[in-house]
Amino acid sequence: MRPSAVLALAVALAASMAPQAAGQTWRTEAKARQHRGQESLDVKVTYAVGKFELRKGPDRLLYRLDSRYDEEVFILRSNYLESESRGDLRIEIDDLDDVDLKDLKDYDYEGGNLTLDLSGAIPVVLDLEMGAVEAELDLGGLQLQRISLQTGASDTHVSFSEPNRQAAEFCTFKAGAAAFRVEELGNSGCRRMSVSGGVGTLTLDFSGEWDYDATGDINVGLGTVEISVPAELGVRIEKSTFLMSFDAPGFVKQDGGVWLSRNWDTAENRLTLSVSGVLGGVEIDRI
Amino acid sequence: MLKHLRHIGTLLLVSTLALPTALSGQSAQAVEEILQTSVALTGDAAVLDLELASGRSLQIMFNDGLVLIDGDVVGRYAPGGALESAWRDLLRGASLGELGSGWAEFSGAEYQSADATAAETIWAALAPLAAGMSAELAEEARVEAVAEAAAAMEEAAAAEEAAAAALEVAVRAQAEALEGLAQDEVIAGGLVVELSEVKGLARQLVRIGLAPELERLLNGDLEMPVRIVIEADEYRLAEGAELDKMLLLVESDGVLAGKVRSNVLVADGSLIILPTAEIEGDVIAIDATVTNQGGTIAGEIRESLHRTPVVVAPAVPRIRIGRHAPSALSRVTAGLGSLAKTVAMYLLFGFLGALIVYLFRGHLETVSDTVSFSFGRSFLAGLAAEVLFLPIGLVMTVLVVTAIAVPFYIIAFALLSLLGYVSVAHAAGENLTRRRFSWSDRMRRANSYYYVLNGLGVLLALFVGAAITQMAYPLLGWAHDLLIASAWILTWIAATSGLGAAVLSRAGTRRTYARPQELPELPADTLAEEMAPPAGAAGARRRTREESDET
Repeated sequence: MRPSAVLALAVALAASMAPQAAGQTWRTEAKARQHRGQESLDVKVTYAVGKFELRKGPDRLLYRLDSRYDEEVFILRSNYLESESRGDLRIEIDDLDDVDLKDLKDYDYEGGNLTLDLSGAIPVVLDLEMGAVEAELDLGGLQLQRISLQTGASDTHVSFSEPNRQAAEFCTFKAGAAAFRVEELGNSGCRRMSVSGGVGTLTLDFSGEWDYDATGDINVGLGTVEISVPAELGVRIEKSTFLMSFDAPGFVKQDGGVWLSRNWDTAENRLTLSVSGVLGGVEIDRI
Repeated sequence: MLKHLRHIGTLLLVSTLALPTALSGQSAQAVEEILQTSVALTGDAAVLDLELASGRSLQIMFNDGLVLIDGDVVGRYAPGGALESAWRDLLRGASLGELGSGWAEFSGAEYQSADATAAETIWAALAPLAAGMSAELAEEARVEAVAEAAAAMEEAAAAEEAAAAALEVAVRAQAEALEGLAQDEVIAGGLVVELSEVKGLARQLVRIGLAPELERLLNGDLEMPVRIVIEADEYRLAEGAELDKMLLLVESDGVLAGKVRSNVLVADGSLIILPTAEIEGDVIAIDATVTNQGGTIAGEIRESLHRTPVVVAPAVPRIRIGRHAPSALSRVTAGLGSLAKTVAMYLLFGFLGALIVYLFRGHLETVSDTVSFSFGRSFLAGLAAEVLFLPIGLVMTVLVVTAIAVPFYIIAFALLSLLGYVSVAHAAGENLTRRRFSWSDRMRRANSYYYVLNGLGVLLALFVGAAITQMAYPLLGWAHDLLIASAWILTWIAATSGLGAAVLSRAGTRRTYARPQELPELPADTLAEEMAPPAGAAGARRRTREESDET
């Protein structure tokens, strides 16, 4: 039996035994806004507990959200403002003030979810704050100007299934005690990126369409960093670690904790990564 | 009035709000009039909110048997009946931003008697609107709609004011809460993670092989909750504040003035414990600085500077790395490597031993005799020398006058150790020769070169055995471990006793603790010749050496 199934069974059992768990009242809320000449959209999502999905929606809609939550524990606040053709969408599902989150384990928190579809027709600035959330984000096909993703104790999977339709200025991924996986980062178009993890495993796959140079800072507190980079990409690793193993087959060590891929001088596009950490390991693979 | 309201509602619904494709003949522009569609579904209620391009909003609600438009009751429905089911289906389409997709089905369905009135009201209200309303009704509806819109806007404004007031209260409450938090704890920058049990952290560290290290540091106590502060510019626990969980500061600088009811672990950072602080557990510093300015620590301050090599746990296969169990070939290769190292050591010590025999044979034999004759005394003397080596060196370093002699002291100690080890090999070789061979063979083999090389072979034999068993580690692993441990113990004993003998004999210049000089066991005639008074230069040299030994 999978750990998640065991957890779900345990939660369900606890819910059936705990009297307060019987009071769950699920509420489904959905919103869809037409795209009417907006030229850009700022999106901020704050989500405490549940499952979160984000993906590209139809271009005729500016956004569409679909949520399910226990209205006795949580509250959904969704506000859209518009100023000079720039939309500002704020979505927050947070716990009610009079609810003690220590009792949260007695709830079927996995039953809550939030799905957000965004238009791929206009530039988007994305700011996501996740708590104990299982997140599945496919940011492919969007026009991302900036990405900021912060997660707490969560399992987060981010992918860029299609290339970003424009260059992203800066991408920040910050994971707490979490398993954090980003795939096809090459499609993200992020010229500068920062990835940090508190405790857990960071898996960064830099495959995708590279027609630009990028730099990134990767920091992990306690845990492992698994990095995959395309063979045709020139890669420079600047390592500053403490109590961390470092495994980078195919890279040539230079002075000052610098490692270079053999094609660094000849590669058409280059990626420079500064890797730092305290306890754990760093593995870099060429794919 | 109620009927009128229904007409207004349905008119607004059809003419301005958007029923995109379902109402044939409606222009695409009508669809565009809806800016936002909102749907809320609970066990009792099914609500549709529409935000219009005009700035107005419209709400249609099915709730607890009543149908309401903008808060006014316009009909009834049977909970769980066909009307509610059709309404919910319509809203499901609306939740996808496609309100019109389910409209035809909703408006064309037939409903049972319980829902008939509400359904008829809705349908009847919508039907004439769809067919086209008279200008008078349209104007009336428009006027009423405007009025309602104004009222709605007023309500909205009032609601907005109320919401703003509520928001202000909430913000104030949050600010007060934050202020309260700030009084207890200040965390500047960085990331804070809370785990209900340290086990959660240990589980993550299992993958990278550090879980045992963490468990060791915490003395196996993994049940407690933990607050992890990572890369914070400053973490401060105020005086009087209490933290009822373990505190883990990673790459952070902390100041404690309050009470921590568990351990505090600092990795690659610093911690200042103020006099008012109280820590009920240990303070563990991993490559970190801990300054206790008088705080109370129930446990102890433990510092760990040992950098633990990180081992990737075999439970997580790393395909590209290939960190599997060593193959038979690699074991044989490793065993042969160990064997080669042992042979190299043998050759090195053999060469050095031969050099010593050539240059200082008399000294070597004296030390060798000392270790043979006074082994226990030599061992104890060597042990004392090893123990005192460092303190004496430190004293010599501290005393300015003797500091210059420290390098010579170290070199002398190393040379004495080498002389002692080779002497032990000599003694071992000599004793082995005595036991194994007859007197004639002994005569043939009775030279110090042979003794040293033979003795070195004895001393290093266990290493050879360990190297051989290493090649068959899965079968003979226990024997390898035993042999390697025995080999190192034997080497240490030999080196210690050799050093002691070298010290006791003053590098082989005194025979105080050596056995008396023995004469070789020769045949009687040869013995008689040997016992005869010495003559010539050789006899003179021997006499001189014996006299010298007695001094």
